[in-house]
Amino acid sequence: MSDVEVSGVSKRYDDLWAVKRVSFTAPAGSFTSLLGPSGCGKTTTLRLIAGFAALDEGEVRIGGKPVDALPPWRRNLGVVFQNYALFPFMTVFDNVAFGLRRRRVPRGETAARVAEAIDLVGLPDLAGRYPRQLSGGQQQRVALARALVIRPEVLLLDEPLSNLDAKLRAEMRFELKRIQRETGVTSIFVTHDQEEALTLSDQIVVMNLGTVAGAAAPKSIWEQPESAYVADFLGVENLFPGTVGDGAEDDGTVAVSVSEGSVTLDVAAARPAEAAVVLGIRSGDIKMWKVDSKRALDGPNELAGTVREFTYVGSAVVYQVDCAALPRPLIATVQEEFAVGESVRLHLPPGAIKLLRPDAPAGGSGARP
Amino acid sequence: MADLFLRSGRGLVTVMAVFWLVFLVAPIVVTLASSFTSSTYLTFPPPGWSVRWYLSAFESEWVWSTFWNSVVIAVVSTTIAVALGIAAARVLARHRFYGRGAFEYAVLSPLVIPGVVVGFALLNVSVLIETQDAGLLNLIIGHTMVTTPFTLRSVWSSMAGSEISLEEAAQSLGATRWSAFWLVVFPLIVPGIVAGAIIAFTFSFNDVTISAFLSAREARTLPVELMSHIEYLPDPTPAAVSSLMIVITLAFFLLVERTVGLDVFADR
Amino acid sequence: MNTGRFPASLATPVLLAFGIFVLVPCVMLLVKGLEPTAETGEWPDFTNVLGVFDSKVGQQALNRTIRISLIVTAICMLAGYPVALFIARCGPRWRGLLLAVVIFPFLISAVVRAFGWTVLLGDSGLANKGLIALGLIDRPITLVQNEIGIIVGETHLLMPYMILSLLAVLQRIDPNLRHAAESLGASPVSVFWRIVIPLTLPGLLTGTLLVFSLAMTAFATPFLLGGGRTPILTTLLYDYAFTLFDWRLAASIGIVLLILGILFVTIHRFVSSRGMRSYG
Repeated sequence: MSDVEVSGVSKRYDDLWAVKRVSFTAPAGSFTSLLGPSGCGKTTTLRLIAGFAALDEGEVRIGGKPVDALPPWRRNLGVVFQNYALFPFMTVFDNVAFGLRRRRVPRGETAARVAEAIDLVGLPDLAGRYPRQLSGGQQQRVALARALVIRPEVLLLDEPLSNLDAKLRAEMRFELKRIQRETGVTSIFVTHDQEEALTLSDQIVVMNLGTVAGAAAPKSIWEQPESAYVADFLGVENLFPGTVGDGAEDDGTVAVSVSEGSVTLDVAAARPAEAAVVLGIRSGDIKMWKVDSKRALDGPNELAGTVREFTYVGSAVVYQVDCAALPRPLIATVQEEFAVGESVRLHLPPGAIKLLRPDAPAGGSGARP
Repeated sequence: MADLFLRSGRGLVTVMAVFWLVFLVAPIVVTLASSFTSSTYLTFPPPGWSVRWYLSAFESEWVWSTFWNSVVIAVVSTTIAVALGIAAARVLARHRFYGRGAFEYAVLSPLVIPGVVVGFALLNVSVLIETQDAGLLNLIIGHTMVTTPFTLRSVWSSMAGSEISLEEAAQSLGATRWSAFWLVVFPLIVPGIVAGAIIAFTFSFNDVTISAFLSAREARTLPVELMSHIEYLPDPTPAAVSSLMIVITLAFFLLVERTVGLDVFADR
Repeated sequence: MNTGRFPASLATPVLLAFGIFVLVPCVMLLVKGLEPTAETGEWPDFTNVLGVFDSKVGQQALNRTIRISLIVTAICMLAGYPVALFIARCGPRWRGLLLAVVIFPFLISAVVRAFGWTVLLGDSGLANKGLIALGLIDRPITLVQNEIGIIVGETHLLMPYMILSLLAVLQRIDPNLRHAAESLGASPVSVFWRIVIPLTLPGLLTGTLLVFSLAMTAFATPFLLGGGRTPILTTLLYDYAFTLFDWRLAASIGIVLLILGILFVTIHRFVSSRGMRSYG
């Protein structure tokens, strides 16, 4: 197994930078996700690693060797495409055997390795079928077997689950994880689905407008996203720009005043005075009571609000609450039920509020044409 | 009341449609029927039936010699048109470059330029360089240029259905660019190539306009020769020859219909 | 999709072929047609090209070409619409057969078709017999080797283009539009006039342009059915080239036809891209 080093890679289409100075390392045997919205350059990055497009700047090393001069057919990578790209006029067997035949693997060994690969992805008995006779999930498995049978140094997956329905997607996620662990192949996975990235990866690289917005392990990126953009993409519902006030408190918190709002919130973090930050809090971390509740507060950061709207999501209720002190409504997810128009008390625990780096205004890069 | 109006409207549409559909097949049916006449002059309906004019056609030297000319011209020009069409379709389907629009316009230009102009312009050049007697060669060149847009369109639309990711998948599995094309793209565009080739062949075989300008004395095509016989020969032999051309065209037409469907004609 | 680089190895042979055998001949045609008429004249001399519109013969041929093209286009519009509607209404089996009936004639050689029409339209042909039987005429009238022959032949040649253009838009009409209109209280008749007709206008427009431009530049059919006394532009070019051997005049007509061809395609592209935008 080989590691993948992407260093300072850029790709320009006409005047548009699809990818600009992207760097990250995927350690050998690890599972790395490239996460971002469509047009963020994640697929282009994958195509540059695969060699389908030539990079304009930077270098890609696989197992320590630069590969930029090599055409795709000399890189020994397995690629799984979003539409699977199965050869429609070949049987499952011939699809999977394709790469081995190009490598002039002897006939007997080819048959054995194809059978092994088909077995690995859980599709025995279907070797004689044509792709159009298979379901989406089965086609997905054939595509995986075809990419893995050549024993690639790296497995590249371009949104492989996006064409499946929700139930199958959840199932394939487990399958993908199992297969990756069994084969131990270094994998780079492109997705726009934060849940997929969180559940599958050892490392998540969040991309935005052709650049890397943050890279970390799922747990740390979930708990402490680096920037407001990353937090937003990972589902932090409440984000408010603010400024750190002067003088840290004794208890290790700072007071942050919300821009365009009339409230100062205590946050359990250290930042220099006057620093521009973005306050972020997940809706599930907010506490909410009826206005006449006698319940005592855990600490500071109490706000008054009025319920504007709610949606029932089964395990909880998501509320949109207007707060006079905040420029935009708060999103709070709680178990208790409140009526529209009801006055409520809200509490934002200082330990649950994240102080995030505001994003620099984007410039010079953009979507892949 | 509205219902009556609606139904009479529909009835009117049906009557008109049937009339014009009959109009479309009428000359073909009449040609076929009158070729089996027993009389020595053309009338419709024929007074009696016989196959004597087919025997007469098969015994005519001019039919055979010009038929072979037409076949040779159609086969050679179709082959070249298919090769040019595949190359041009590949360029247009897979590449973005400065001047791509101009390239497309150049390759489709024979659809823009009236046939008489193509024929006369080629004749003009061949007279300038004194090759006007190389009739076969001139005809092959003319037919190739005029039929390439058909092969291009047909191959191009079949390429549009083959995703670029198939080629990339083949390449990532170890196939070079060239072998990825032959192993993965080519099998997918065979129907487009076949359809394009048949259309090109049919066009070349039946063409009058280009051939009228480029046929030299000893290199005439069957339709051009037939044209003079219609003018000067009063007997029904031309009817038999025409009927044979209809049958040949019908065979190719059914081949297209059975293999790739009639949709290839729909975007013309 | 490969970007940027010019695919030289693939494109060069194609460009060479079209450059040598299409572009160069067209340029030589321009050179020929603009040759000076007088000994002392200079190149380019537009006398001949303008003469196409000036001389009596040229003027007559031009007028006849336009007149015939307009009549043929009108017939194709009026005839093509019911045929297209009828085919669109048929079940898939019949539709395939009728589509074949529409498409097959336009693969047939122009000579063969002309032959069929000559038999049909001749003095003792079916058309004359029918007209006499209906009591519309007393004795046979001349229907071929004149403008009527050209009009019938060109209508037969070009109607498939109109039908296919109309069918293309008719089949793309979303059945839900019809259902939506009906649910809003529209009768089938007003669905037809207010939904179907407006949606087919782009197809009618492209079909009309196609038929008119092809009628203006058709050669074989008018050549075979028009006889010698009713020249249109294309057959006049042939006469100049092979009967009168005046290639300068022939080339001048060629230039006019070339300009017409380019003009119509440009209009056609403009119209169809606009049509896409407003109904896409």
